[in-house]
Amino acid sequence: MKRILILLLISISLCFPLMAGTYSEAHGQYLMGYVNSSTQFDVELFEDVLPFNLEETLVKQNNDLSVVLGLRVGVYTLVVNTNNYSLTVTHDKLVKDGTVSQGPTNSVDYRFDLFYTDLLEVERFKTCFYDDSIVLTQDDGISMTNKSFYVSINATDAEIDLLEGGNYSSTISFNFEVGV
Amino acid sequence: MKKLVIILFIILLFSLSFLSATLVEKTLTAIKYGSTSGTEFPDPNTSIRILNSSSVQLSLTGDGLEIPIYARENSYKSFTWSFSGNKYNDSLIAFRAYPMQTETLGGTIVYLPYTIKFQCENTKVGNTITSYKGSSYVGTTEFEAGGTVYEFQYADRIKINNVEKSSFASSYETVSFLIGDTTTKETSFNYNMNEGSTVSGGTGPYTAGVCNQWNRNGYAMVSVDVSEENIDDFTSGRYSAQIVVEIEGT
Repeated sequence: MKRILILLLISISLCFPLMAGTYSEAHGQYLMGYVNSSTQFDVELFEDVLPFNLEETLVKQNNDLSVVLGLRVGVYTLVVNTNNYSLTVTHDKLVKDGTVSQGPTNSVDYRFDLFYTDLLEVERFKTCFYDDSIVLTQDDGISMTNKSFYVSINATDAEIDLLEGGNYSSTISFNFEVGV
Repeated sequence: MKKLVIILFIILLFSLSFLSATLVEKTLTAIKYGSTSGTEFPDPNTSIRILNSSSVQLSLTGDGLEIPIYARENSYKSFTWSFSGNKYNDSLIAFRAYPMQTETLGGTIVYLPYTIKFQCENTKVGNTITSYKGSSYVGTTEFEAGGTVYEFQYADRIKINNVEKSSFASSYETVSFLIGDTTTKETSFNYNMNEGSTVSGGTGPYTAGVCNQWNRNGYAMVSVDVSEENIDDFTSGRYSAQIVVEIEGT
């Protein structure tokens, strides 16, 4: 009888930590699966920060290619489950509206930085200027959700001073290909 | 040789069907404030951009905006505005809404009741974006001119139809056109950073009238106020209403 009581006490005391635990509120999680190949690609430009001031401190020239500074102007989402894809990002210069012939007084280059998550879930970025491009492939990563891109002016203060007053615009192209 | 050609052709078809490409183009916009005064200060300036529900910029000379069928008795985000500039005080944006009427030439004009709500969404001054949900909007921003840094301690204020709003939570205005209402209705938003602001830096009183870049953003919600029961009371066809946007402050 004594043995039974001891065993009972031990088993009750073992149960206490479990009983003391309280369950948290249930949180729903979505589990997504795909049948066959599937891709998602979206780009959002933050219109509420545009147009930005070319002389703003935030967008000043940053020559350090290891650090991203500048204005966050948008996000993109890219999800693929196929082996082969490429995302190529290019942009032209910021050109004063109505310009026929581009020059240092009516056009200016800018630096474009694109963040992405690599296959090891490490945050990285790639940079390009107007005569260059950024290319992401399956070797860089396959799942980027709301990844940011930034711009900063690629010109000195003196070069910006030379620019004529007015509205400037530039096209940023995102070319996403699957099965390349 | 013929076989080879056929096989190649099949491979080509397959690869073509497998390859898909998506090109997305976005327009980045910027502004350089010019100076005609001969001083280090740029000229006061304001500008406006109107974008449709897909964030495509509309021309300022009259692009059409379609209202989908589900806007009937339901709010639909028809367009957004981005009002920007560097004016320190009194920058006004006004919307004039006209009745929505049949486009058919000749015959009796039929007017469709509708509601349009102009909602101020947020303001960006310098690097700070503030949503119009709080009770007040105060902040600081720096502005550099001629090598001098001016620091603005500002209290942004907004007047709707010349009535000052004490709370940004009510930074919107709704206009409704009832059945038979043919009047034109105007709503204006006047932003002013000047009152309650102080400027430090430089010497003497600050009179340049310009500050750091700001962006005032908002959107318009439209609903067509016709119920399912009353839909047959209106002539079938296309209806349109003109919305005129004006800005002041340049």
